[in-house]
Amino acid sequence: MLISIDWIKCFVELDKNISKEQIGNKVTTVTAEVEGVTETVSELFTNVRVAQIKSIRRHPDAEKLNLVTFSIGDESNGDGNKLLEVVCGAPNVREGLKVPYAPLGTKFPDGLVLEAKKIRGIVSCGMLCSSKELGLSESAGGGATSAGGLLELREDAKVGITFAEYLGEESDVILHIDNKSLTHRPDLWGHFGMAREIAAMFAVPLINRFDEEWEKKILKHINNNNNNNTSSPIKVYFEGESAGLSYYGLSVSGVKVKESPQWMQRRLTNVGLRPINNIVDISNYVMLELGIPLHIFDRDLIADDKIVIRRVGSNEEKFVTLDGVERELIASDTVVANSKKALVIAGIMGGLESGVNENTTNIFIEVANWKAAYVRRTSSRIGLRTESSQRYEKSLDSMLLKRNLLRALELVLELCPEAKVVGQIEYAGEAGDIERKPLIIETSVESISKQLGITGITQEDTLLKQIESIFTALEFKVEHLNENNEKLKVTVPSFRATKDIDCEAALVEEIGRMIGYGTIKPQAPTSSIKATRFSYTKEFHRQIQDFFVLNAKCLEIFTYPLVGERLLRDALWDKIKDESSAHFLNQDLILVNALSKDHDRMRPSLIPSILEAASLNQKYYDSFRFFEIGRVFDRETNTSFVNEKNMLGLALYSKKQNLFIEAANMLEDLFRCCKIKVDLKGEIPKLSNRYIPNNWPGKHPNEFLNVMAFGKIVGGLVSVNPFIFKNFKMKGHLTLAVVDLSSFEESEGKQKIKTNYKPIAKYPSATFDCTVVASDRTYVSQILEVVKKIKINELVESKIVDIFPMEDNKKAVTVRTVFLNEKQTLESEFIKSCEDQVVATLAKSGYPLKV
Amino acid sequence: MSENLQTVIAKISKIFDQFVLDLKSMNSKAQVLDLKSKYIGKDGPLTIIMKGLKDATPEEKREIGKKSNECKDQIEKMSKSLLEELEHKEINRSLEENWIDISDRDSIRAKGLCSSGYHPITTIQREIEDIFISMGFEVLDGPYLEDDYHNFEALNIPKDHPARDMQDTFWFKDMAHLLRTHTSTIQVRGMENRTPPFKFVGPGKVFRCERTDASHEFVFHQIEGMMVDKNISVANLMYFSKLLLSEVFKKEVEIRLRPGFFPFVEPGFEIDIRCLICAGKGCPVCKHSGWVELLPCGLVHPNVLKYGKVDTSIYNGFAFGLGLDRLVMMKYAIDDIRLLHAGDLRFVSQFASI
Repeated sequence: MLISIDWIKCFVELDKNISKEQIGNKVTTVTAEVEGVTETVSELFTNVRVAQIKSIRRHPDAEKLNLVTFSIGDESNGDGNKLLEVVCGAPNVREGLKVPYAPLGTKFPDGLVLEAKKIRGIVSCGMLCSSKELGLSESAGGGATSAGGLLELREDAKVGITFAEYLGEESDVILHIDNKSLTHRPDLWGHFGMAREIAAMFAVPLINRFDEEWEKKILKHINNNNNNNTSSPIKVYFEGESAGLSYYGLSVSGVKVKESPQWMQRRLTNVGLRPINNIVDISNYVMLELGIPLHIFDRDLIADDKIVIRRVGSNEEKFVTLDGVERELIASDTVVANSKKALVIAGIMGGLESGVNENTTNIFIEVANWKAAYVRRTSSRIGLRTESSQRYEKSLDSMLLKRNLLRALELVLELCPEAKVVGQIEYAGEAGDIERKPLIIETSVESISKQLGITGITQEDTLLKQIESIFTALEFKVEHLNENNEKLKVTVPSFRATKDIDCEAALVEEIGRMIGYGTIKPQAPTSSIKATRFSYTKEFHRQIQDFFVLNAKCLEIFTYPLVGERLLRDALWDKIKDESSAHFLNQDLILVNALSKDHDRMRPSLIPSILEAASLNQKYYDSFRFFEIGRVFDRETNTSFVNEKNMLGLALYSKKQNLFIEAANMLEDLFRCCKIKVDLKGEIPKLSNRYIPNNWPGKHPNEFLNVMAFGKIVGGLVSVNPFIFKNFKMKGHLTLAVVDLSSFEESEGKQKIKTNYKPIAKYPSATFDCTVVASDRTYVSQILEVVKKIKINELVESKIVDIFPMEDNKKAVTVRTVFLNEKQTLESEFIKSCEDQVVATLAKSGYPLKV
Repeated sequence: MSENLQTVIAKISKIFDQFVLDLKSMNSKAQVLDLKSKYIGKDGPLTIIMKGLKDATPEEKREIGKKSNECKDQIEKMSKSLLEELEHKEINRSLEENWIDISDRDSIRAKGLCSSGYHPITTIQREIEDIFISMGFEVLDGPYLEDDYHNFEALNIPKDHPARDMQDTFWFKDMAHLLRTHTSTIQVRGMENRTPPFKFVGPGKVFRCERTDASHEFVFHQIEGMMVDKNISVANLMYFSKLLLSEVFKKEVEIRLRPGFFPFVEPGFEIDIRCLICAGKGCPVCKHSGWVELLPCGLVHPNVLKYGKVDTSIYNGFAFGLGLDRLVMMKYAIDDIRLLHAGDLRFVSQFASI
């Protein structure tokens, strides 16, 4: 919202020495965020002043230059009637001439900043200006002429005034206030309300020109005008429950629609509104002044003698608003209607048919209050947020409606003196709406100072005085409940009681912000000490991150938890079909108001995101490895709306090399470091892997391992089938892994492998290597499995030492077995028998000894 | 004695001199060993001399024996020293043969990306978590997908409250579930299973339906903090926020406090810091204001505490929320927030350090 300081000054006398920046800062630190402070007239015109040339003498060292002495007046110039001197080369310089003078420091439109410098040895203290230098066209300048050189100003121009004043342009300072910071303050959506704040923050009185006297004066005018008791041409009625709270209407005849006076146009323009005509401008002006919207009808276009506030009728679904747009209404919306049809969408916008036009002579002024929630609902639904709806949805104060109406009338009569009020002020409303009991909240000096944390800093009685004066300035009434003035009974003004102030804490805020949060001294709380540590989940995530960063040379990335259908299709995620195929595209986790189709739903898996990131990065790097701990979502759950899980995603990419084994090693290392028992296993006949489904076309036919923990599949490791690469414009080798962390998190670390010390073996072990022959497609792990099954207690370790290829699709595999007895040295015969058993078992399983 | 004492002594000296001379021409271990045994072996000249001392007086024997032993020791010593020298040379020669280029390290190789590191958000989040855990705050988490109750209602933002406009919410089709717009949901969840006094923080991703640009993103990160105890004041909140900011930036930062409206706090305020990117001159990160909104906070609204089943006649509390993305952007002078979720290693690899 834009606030005009000029307008504010109608209600507050601000010290002239307060700069616009000071006002901006103060409003920001006390009331609401000021996003910018601007001036409506350029700074140049407020810096440049009207000067009168007193004497001229030739520059001692330059033939074409003169030393010109001039005055810039005695009143507005703090230096008294001091004469100034500049070096000037203009040909039209003459005594008595009035010209614009730019003092040192003036910034010109071309960016030049005037600095003190010597011209041929003489220091010039500023510059007398031409029209060009001021950025004016030759003809401009308010009747000034510019015959070759200095801009010659009118002879009657007052010496010393600013150039802006000379031009008749009044500069106005505009505060740009963040609307969000006014969400809770319906009273600040008009200049008068903002003036009350500004008066309070600068501790100056508020000039209330809308007091009881004023009200009486205008009411008297209505009565006098109406002494023959003419009845109002339009009466107002409430029909059933609706958004309506209170509705005032007043008929005025004989207005003349024309342009508004300059002052009104300027004010509206300054705060960003386009002047239209005097009647429309009045409604806008009053809204911007007092913060409550109003609507003015062309009374003849109402074509009826009644106004009805009611819900939308059955044939009124379509309504054309003032802006010419047809709106769809529903039965729960409220309209202002005549006896036949809707004229206004309550609190939002008037209709095209009944608005004021250039031929309007009779008007009907509506000042109403509507229930905030209703206005908000209708306005959000039809997507129409207006100056009016914005205010109503903050909960306005019905008590102030009458004042609004009187102010509108005052302006109508001022701008159209020939206009006449017809009849009386008409009112309809919900019972009790304008007779609400005042809101009273009890508090105490102690409580306020405790909550702010200023106990002991300010004397209690000083604080009491401070509190009282702040409340009074903000129009809260303070009464004392007990003798030592400790307990306070605070009556909240009606305009703050609609939503904003609802509890003692809200009063504390009023005091806090007015005293200034900056003045509160930070203080450590006194509280008991408890040992705290990270949850297992947090600790586990940190371990994973640490492992990948410190041990596995991986970079951590973040990808969007929201994905789009296109990415899922590129990842061929839609090709996964099994008993639960309906959910693979997460069609039931789509946002209604997504920003783009690329991020319109929750991701069902990390894999598409990993593919996308890998595709991006392979453009720039020959190899890389990254990981992410990210969440995935699915709706396959009966108990809650969504199943949200933390997943680990890992990707290893190389242009040339297959990194599957490296990735598998990495995963095994990871879980060993985290002390969790996890196995990597190939295809398991009856179990399907839901993380890397069998029928996902991106799955490699061989390079795949299930990640197993707690006897179930918790993830998978797979090389990506190059079949999918064309969708991602990539080449090379990509291996990825996904691991569901939720099963580990749920166990809260109870599954951690316990470490127990075992005494170091006292007796020597015996190592036996033997080389067997296997077909080249045999998994070496299978050969080891055979050895591991041998039942010899002393067989403590079996490993693969070497593998080398042989002819005829065969390979030689060297297997090492280690025998150890912890209680005695092994005898050579025993060792020999063990070795024989190993060789025999291998041979029996189809792995004969290589000869 | 056939020869006199002096002659024998001189002979020994001569033998030794000859040894020293011979040793100089040795260049293999074998030669040295041979030479050594030639001089001090069983048939060596010294042994022969000693054997020829039959007629000598004990006194002469002692004299000559002493000289001979000295000579032997010297030979032993010099041989050993040369042997070591030769061995060292030999090893070094073979090491020299196995020369490697010690400059040929991964860091200068076109091997792809070898660096490792945490995401910058992780780094800063951990730092803040550590600060808070050191002050006795628990670290909690919560779901991204929330219901109306946890994101709004329990935070004193009833249906049709205009404050709902402040948070451009992503809604799901049922219009009852949404993506959390703030980590304040963690306040609600934290209170659900705790009895006061308690204090915790809750970091995490939040979502807003906002058009994106260099300083706006629809997913970003916050950390929520809440402390509930007896007699909590604005001054306490300020104490923690100042402590936090000075720990995070590891220097004095210029801060500004001003009122801010958030329905779940009362009084509510906003702590701004002087923009560290432009030092207050104005830049896109601070929206050209010189100040960056960093810490919306306040005393917890009594209604919120009531929703959390906290007895407001005994306890009150403070709460704050801190945007992590802005912190990271200021710390590393990042000019586009969208890089954080881009998965682009050209970006993350720049933070490749611990």
